[in-house]
Amino acid sequence: MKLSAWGGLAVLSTLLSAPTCLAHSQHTSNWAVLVSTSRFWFNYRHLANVLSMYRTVKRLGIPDSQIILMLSDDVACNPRNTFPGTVYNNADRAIDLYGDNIEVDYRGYEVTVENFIRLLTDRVPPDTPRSKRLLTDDRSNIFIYMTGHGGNEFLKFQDAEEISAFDIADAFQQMFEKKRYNEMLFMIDTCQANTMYSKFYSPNILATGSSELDQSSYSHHADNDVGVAVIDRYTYFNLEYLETHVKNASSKHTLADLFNSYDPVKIASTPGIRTDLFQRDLKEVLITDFLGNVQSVEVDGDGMRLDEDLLSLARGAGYNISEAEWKEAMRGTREFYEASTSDSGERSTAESRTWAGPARVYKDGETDFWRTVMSAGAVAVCFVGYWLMSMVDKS
Amino acid sequence: MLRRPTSPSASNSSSSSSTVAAMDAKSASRDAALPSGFQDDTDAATAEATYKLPPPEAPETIRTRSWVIASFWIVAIFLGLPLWHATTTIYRAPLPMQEMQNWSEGKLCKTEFPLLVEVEAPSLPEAESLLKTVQHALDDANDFAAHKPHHLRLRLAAKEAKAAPEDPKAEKGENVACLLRLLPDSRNGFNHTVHSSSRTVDIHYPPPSSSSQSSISAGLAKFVAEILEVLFWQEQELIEHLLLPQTSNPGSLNALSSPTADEARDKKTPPARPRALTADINRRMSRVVKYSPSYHLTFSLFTATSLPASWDIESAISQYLTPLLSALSPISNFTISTQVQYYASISSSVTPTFDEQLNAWTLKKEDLSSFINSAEWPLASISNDPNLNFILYIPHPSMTPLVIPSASRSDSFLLPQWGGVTILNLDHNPASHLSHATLKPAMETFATHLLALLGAPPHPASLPIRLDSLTRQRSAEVLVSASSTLGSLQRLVNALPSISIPATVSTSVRDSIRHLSLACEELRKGSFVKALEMGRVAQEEAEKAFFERTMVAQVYFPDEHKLAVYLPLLGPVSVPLVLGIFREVKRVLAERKASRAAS
Repeated sequence: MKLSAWGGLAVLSTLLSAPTCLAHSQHTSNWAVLVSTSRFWFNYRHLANVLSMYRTVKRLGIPDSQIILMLSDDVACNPRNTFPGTVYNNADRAIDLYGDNIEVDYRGYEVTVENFIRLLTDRVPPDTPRSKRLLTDDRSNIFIYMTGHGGNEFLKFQDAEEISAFDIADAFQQMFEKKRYNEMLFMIDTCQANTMYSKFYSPNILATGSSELDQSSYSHHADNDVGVAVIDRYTYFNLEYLETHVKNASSKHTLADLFNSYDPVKIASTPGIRTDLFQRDLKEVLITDFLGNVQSVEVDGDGMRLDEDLLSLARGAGYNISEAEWKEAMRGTREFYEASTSDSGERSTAESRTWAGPARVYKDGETDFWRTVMSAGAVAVCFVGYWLMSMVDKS
Repeated sequence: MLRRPTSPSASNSSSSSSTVAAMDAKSASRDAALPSGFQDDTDAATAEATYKLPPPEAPETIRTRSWVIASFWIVAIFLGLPLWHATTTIYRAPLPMQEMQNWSEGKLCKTEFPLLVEVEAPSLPEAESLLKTVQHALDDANDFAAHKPHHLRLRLAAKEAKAAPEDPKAEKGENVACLLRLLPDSRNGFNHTVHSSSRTVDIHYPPPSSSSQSSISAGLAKFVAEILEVLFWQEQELIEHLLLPQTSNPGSLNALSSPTADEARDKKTPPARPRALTADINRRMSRVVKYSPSYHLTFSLFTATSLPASWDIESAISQYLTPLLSALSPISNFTISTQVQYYASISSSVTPTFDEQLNAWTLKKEDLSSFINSAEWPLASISNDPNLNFILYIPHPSMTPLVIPSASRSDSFLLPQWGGVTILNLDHNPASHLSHATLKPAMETFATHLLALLGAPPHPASLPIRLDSLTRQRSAEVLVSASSTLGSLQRLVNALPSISIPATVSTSVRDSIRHLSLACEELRKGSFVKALEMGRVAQEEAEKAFFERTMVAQVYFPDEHKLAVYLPLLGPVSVPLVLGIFREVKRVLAERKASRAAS
């Protein structure tokens, strides 16, 4: 733990390590939603951020059909780009992120707050193609990465509109209600990023951001030939860890390892992690649970027919066993079952751990009261102003 | 220098202008500091004395002014306010909230699965009493486990079945779940055989010797009861598991509801319930794809070289798979597409190792999980139905044979909710064409995979019984899914007051509820296919309501924003209105005071 504020993480981890029987991830598919929200050439780095993440999740095995890539501007084809048709995330220009195999699902002006919310909640027009939909279910893990310019509880889209932390939180709650995810990792790289996930209230969401309230997120370095900054610091250090440690989809590195690698001095802002909605211990959550695509496999022989009552299958297949033998065998299984029910008490308490987090955070009575007072005050001041003016006018 | 812009006489009357000049001289030093228009009281008093007051207003003018003010207020209140209200309110169609909640909590439908079992006992004299005993045993078991959704009902097959073959067909409406045939068999003891292609189960029992007539029939009764239990046990477990979350209501944010749900769960769990199986059922459920009225099946041949160049997939499918698909057609429809991909390499992270003992290349289980090369294999579907992939992979000759040591039957594995993969090892000079005889084992594996992915219980060997059981399972699933969607919608509508609810949602919800209750009725009657149909409509309507595209929550507006929008608009409009009525009231009060003083 590099930061005292992260002590909470340690405490939570120890608290949550108790129900380990739930720790194994239950997902059968992985999805990624990668969003850059800013427009214009000088925001080159945001597109590079998002394309770097795209490259990473693809490298770790998530197929294009399960990645929703939202690119808000086309810097590769910008006339100011010295290297037309390419996007680089490093001054050494080793990797062309805009290479030959990239599938942009939402581009340019299609990247709007409304489309993003529609994508999450799947309230899309009926003629929407499959590639523009998030077709997840309750066994899907979703990785959501956002980058752009933001502020306290908002993120700007296209320099024209903004999404608030409340909007995202509500959209996630709708996803939860419709069982559209198993677990979710929300990562955001923007100024005051940690405020963006502060309003979440749906279970099984793990969130991380680049900077605290009133902190800016900075770019890492500029490429003098491209002429602008090419990557943000937080994303850069995430990528550095992923590239050097998580070589392929069978990597055993955990999210705790990734989060421990964050160094606020290098990142130049304080990255945040929110774990109170998440139920597993981060030390047991593989990075590839979210950023990779590891399909669980059932091999014929161990998975397909394991659950069968072998005896009755044998009987079904025509093997004849006398009644005595059969009963003997059944008795054995009964005893086994009864033995296994003895620990059912604690098991059921562990299984029944349902989520009981805070209700909606922002409906706070006190702030509402002051908000009302201030609004009323503003109205009153205006009235008094008009009144005074008209008094002068009359006299 | 114009002091009193209200007095028209100031500029043209010479006498008054001289007074002004005198006054100016008196207060010149103060005037320099004060802005024009400001004067102290003494100046004002002297000025007032010199000015001519405007003539008193005529009563009609006053009346007209009151009318003007009144008409402005009337327009504002009776036109402006309603207009403002009508254009800014969010339309929320009325929804049967309580009913939706009840459905989602499983209060309105006690799901039951009455199963009719026919018994044929041609050579047993007191078959009826035997049936009574068995029924008793089954009912006892049911009472013990209070909430079992299944109710087995036994019936003696019509004795004259052979005489009048039309009769049983007429009664087919009642859907016999399975037919037990009791046959005496002297060679072995008690045993049973499940016919794999019909619903018939043969039960063999030792022929009664005259000495122990009663003990044999008691033993037989017990045996029959146990067989029935075994036949439907797996399905029961599954359906119970499906129905449980409905009552425990996992989506509820209300923390209070969870302990009660636990109680319900504990109550529902019979004490002798094999608890270890819950994880097992969970695992099996995780394999099953979500129910959909139609699926798309993609059969792909991926070969590491250019050979084989073609395959007999069409005839193989029609020969080995179509019978199964048509048997499944009451549950779901299937569309099929096939593809061949040459020079398809497995993903680079998978490295088979050569095993000297097996003389073969082997794949470890970790390799299998990233076996699918999703970056390069064209497996994305454009169909809107859920897609199931079946992949036949032919490894490179230099890596043949490629085997999966942990697989017992064939080199195949299943990816939950996704599809199945079979590795086909050809000899070193492969033919350029795969005949359908070569494809047969692979197609059979795919058929097994398909059944597993769709959720058919693997247990009784009889396919019709398995499919019946799949129908029941799927109808339970759509019922649960439709009602939980209704519950989600209800909670959503309550939680987000800024969301608009169009009338279509309301009709969809009502449709869904109507079909839900119809499905429930059909279930109770025992016609499961119809129940599935109704449930399917209910689910579709519920989904349509939930995913109504106009129901996207308004982008969040804090109160400050609303104030900022309204104040510049309403401030200038409302101040003259308010001040106007204020002055009017003051005038009326002054008049009344004056008249009171006069009288």
